[in-house]
Amino acid sequence: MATPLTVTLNGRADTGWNVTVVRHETEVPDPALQALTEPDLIAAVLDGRPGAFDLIVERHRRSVYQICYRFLGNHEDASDLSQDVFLRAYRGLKAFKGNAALGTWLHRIAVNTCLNRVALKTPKGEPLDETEPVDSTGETPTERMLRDERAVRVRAAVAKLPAKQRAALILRTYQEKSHQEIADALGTSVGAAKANVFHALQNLKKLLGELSP
Amino acid sequence: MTHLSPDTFVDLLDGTLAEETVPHLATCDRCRQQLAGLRVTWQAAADVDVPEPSPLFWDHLSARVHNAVAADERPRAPWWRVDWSWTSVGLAGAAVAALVLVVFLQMPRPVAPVSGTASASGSVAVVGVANPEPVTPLPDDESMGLMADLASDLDWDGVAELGLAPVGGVERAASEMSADERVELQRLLHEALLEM
Repeated sequence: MATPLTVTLNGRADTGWNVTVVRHETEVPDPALQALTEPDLIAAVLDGRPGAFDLIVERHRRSVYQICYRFLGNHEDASDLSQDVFLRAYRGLKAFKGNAALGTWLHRIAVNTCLNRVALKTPKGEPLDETEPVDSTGETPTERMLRDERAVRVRAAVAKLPAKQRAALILRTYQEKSHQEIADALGTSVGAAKANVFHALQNLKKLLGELSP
Repeated sequence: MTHLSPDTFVDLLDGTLAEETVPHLATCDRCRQQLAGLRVTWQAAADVDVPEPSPLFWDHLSARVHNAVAADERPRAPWWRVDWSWTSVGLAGAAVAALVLVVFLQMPRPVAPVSGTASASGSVAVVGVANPEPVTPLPDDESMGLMADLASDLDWDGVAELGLAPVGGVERAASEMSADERVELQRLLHEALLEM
């Protein structure tokens, strides 16, 4: 169990207040688990070894979240969906045959979870102020504002694509999956996966209008 | 003229097919422009990153998943193996008692047709007409005796004030009386007033 660090800021806060900041440190994964290969890590989860599934989550949480975000277009839904994806993965881990990489399998679950979600609920998109606030490119504030606005427009346009086109585009463009992997994830043929990517780009071009030459 | 298929466009975009190997592109402006447009669109999409959430978010997500998994794998005990602590038993008992009390208070009480006479001391002897069977006397109960003693000094208003008589109870009893019962009640009240 992590030990909470307690810091009292008496000298720096208003004299009428005692401010206590408590930072809960995350548990350090077992080094023995860190050294395990992917199949052994999966076996460790199935054996009920504490921390094994946490390590899988830690390794794949970013890519799973990004798929969910690109699909749903907002942080709140992406966060909830990411949790669902890992819970489904945990429940289905016994059925994981190891034919594909664990990451590919998780991404497939993420896509299916997202497809199920958009079938039930239209994504609400993101507010303008949800864009990345950190300037990591050295650009001017105006340039950054224009880039952010354009990013919001592109994400909103992607979120408007039909579900299978969206999934195919996300997997191909951002996850760099092969067409075979996309076909596996969507339960279609490779030809249909390619057609989904093509129509996704065609529709995106229409939605974005002036971005095209 | 047959234009390029979606398959070929995607292979050209991926780079798995070189433009030089597709002679149609050299002769068809439409396909060439379409390929250029798709390339620009794809690049525009690829340039967009997902906004980076707060640094605390990742640990928060891990913790949420950890808790969800822990809750998911916790076996649900069958009802006969649930830990019936005294507290839960007590609460359940109190709930059942309260329910019984509420049901009892809500039950309509049949008002037996009465006939009888007032004694010289002012007490009224009431005999059920509709139910001629003799009433079995209740066994002596000390607590009932104590209650009777405590209540002997209370008049009707006091009883109502203490909440021992339901509001509107008298009116309800009177409204449910038959015509003969009302006549009898009127007579008894008249006698009682004369004795006062």
